Amino acid sequence: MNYKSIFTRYGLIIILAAIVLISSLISPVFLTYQNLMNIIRQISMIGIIAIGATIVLIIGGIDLSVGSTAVFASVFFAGLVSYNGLPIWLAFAISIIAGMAVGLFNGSITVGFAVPPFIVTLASMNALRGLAYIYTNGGVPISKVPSGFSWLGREYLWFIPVPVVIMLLLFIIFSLFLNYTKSGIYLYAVGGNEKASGLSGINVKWVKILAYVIGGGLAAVSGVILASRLNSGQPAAGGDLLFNAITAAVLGGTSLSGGEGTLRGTLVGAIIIGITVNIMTLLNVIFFYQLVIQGFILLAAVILDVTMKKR
Amino acid sequence: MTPLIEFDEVSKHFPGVVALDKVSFSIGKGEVHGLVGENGAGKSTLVNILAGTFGEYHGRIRVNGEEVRLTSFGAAEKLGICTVFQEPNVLLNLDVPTNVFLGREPVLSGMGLIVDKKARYQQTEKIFREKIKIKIDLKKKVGNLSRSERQIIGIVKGLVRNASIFILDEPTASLTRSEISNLFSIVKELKESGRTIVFISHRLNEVFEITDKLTVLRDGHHICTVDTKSLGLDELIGAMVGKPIESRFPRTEGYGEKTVLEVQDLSREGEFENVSFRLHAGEVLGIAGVMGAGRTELVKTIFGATRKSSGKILIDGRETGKGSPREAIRSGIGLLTEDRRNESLILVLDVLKNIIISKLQKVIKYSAVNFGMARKHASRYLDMLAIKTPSLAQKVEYLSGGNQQKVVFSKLLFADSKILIADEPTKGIDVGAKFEIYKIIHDLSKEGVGVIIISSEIPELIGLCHTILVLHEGKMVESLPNKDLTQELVLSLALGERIV
Repeated sequence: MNYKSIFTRYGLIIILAAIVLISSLISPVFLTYQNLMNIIRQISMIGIIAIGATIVLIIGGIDLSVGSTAVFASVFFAGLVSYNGLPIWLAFAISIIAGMAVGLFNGSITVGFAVPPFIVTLASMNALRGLAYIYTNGGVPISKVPSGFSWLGREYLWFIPVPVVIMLLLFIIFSLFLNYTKSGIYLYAVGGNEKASGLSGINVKWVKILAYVIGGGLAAVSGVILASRLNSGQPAAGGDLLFNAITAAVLGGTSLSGGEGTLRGTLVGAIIIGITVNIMTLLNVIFFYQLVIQGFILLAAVILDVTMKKR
Repeated sequence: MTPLIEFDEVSKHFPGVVALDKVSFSIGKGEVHGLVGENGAGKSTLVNILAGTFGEYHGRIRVNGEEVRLTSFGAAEKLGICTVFQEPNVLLNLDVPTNVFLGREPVLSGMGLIVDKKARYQQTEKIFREKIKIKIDLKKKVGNLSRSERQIIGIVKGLVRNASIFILDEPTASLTRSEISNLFSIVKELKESGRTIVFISHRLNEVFEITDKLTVLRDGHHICTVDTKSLGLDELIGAMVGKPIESRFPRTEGYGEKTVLEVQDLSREGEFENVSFRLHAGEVLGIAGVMGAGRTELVKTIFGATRKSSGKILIDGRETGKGSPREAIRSGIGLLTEDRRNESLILVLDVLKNIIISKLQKVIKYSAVNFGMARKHASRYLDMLAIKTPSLAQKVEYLSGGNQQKVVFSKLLFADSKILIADEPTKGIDVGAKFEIYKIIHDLSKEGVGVIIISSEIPELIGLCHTILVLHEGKMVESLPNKDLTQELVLSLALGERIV
């Protein structure tokens, strides 16, 4: 194996190891139990939403509305519990169905009217943010929630935080889905070559809609966890979710032109983002500077992807 | 006298193919020079080199005795070369004068940046009045003009740029009779003003009508450059198709009685009309025709990728419904498309997935793909078709053209195709691999698969097929049993030069 193939295969892990090493050297707090738990909890939300973002990128689409879908689902979840007094599990289920409905909308419009997904999801991104504020009567946080509401976001199963368990489960399920099921393989095929897929007898439209539905549903799961962590529904929260989800997928090697990408890569991407954000916070880097740095990380990842492909 | 353009051992290679092989000939100033050859002979490659599209090529090109490198479109333009492609380079959303003067707009004096629209319009109008002598509404957006009018705009663009060499690539392919005679009078006008025209056409009668000299290309080689007058039609066709090569084809045998596919009066508006034929089990049926004859369109409709306007398609005696690729695959039709890279293969996926993609259900167990089983199937095809790949996990992108084509065959075999439609199966493939593909087709037919082959290489059809169907401009000219057929006969039927 030459240098290049070693790098393409293990490059991300090497980068991750380097970041962990440097972080533990420059901050004594970094490797403490408390801090590590913080990081993985943070990662779980990014990770779950990034699974969906990856799947949409695999079909050659993009979903800009995942962040807003998550935020909408989080206030909707809180509202169903707080305003309507629904049991938490039922509110959870309904919120996820709502997220899938958003995906169904995005997918159907994209496919049905041949509108670029960038535009469709840009529109729904804005609309959903508006809806989140409308639903909360102009942005009043929904904080009257019963005890048990925060279980999903704050509790532990044995010693692992609940959201982390959920994330890992979802990663396993969707990895199997992508690699072994008919629909999963069709997602890659459609992203790789829509025309050839259609001529191979694949129902291209259905496959594309499916990707957006999965993306919406997972965004909602992430949103529910967000609400539970905050122990309230906050329409102003979660502004960084979209950016982090796309960055995680791209860092993980998902091709923006479709047909390529693995959830394993996305998971590592999400971990890298989680650690970077954490170490910057520990070092008291002002939030606004963090945004600038994150922006450049995304750019670097894309440039790397493009140049590797050229060679 | 030094010739205007001199080609000296010009070659162009693409991955896996030599499109032009050491071509040398010259074009004199002020002549109308025809460039002829079958599809794939290298005409388009030569045109694209002259136009500067490729940038890279081997060999030398001299213009007026001086060696030049045609590295870009701009470099060609500076040398006075104007290329009008079949789909001319015009902007459909802009009007005629804007297109004509694009990149060299006249500006208002003293105001360096502001376009003098009035001058632009007047100059365009003057060229059309004096040189072209055809009325076109100059204010119309070019998108609303006909294709022949767009080609004329392409020529006018060249005139504005003082081009001295005009290359017309298949200009008449989609024009009506009267549009063609308009175009020819423009060509004569250009010639009288001392300009040189390179004229590419499939229609040999036009070539005889308009050109002074002719260059024949075949399989990327230069065959001859002669005075048009010195050549007869039969001689020209002979030069285009070359000597018959029979030994490389496996011997055909008989075929079964059973009709697997029947097409009755099938039409698709604007593409082909009233095509009828029967395909039997084990029969190899060839479809001959030149570009624009409707061959690809016909098989795409049979496959359900496009809708028919009228007529019937019967598979095993049962009429098909509305038609879709899904339905076609399910009823046993496999299509190998002409555009392998864009329509048959998913390049970013590996060999294995490409083979199994159109019939995944065959290897599904407990709603998951059983990759062990899939690999077993696929490895069998690797052996059977001698596909050269490091592994089944190799991305198809990295295989050679011939091996890619064999992957497509594997895909169709895996889908249990009973009717195999192969559109230009040997296009862009090395000679060795071609022979292997002939053998695959032959073996399939022996197993009772009905095969339809479209090919622009007539020797291929004569060597492989039981029956040859000839299409000309969307109409079925003839269905011939392959007995005592000559390339000359098939080609002249396909060109519409002769009627049986």
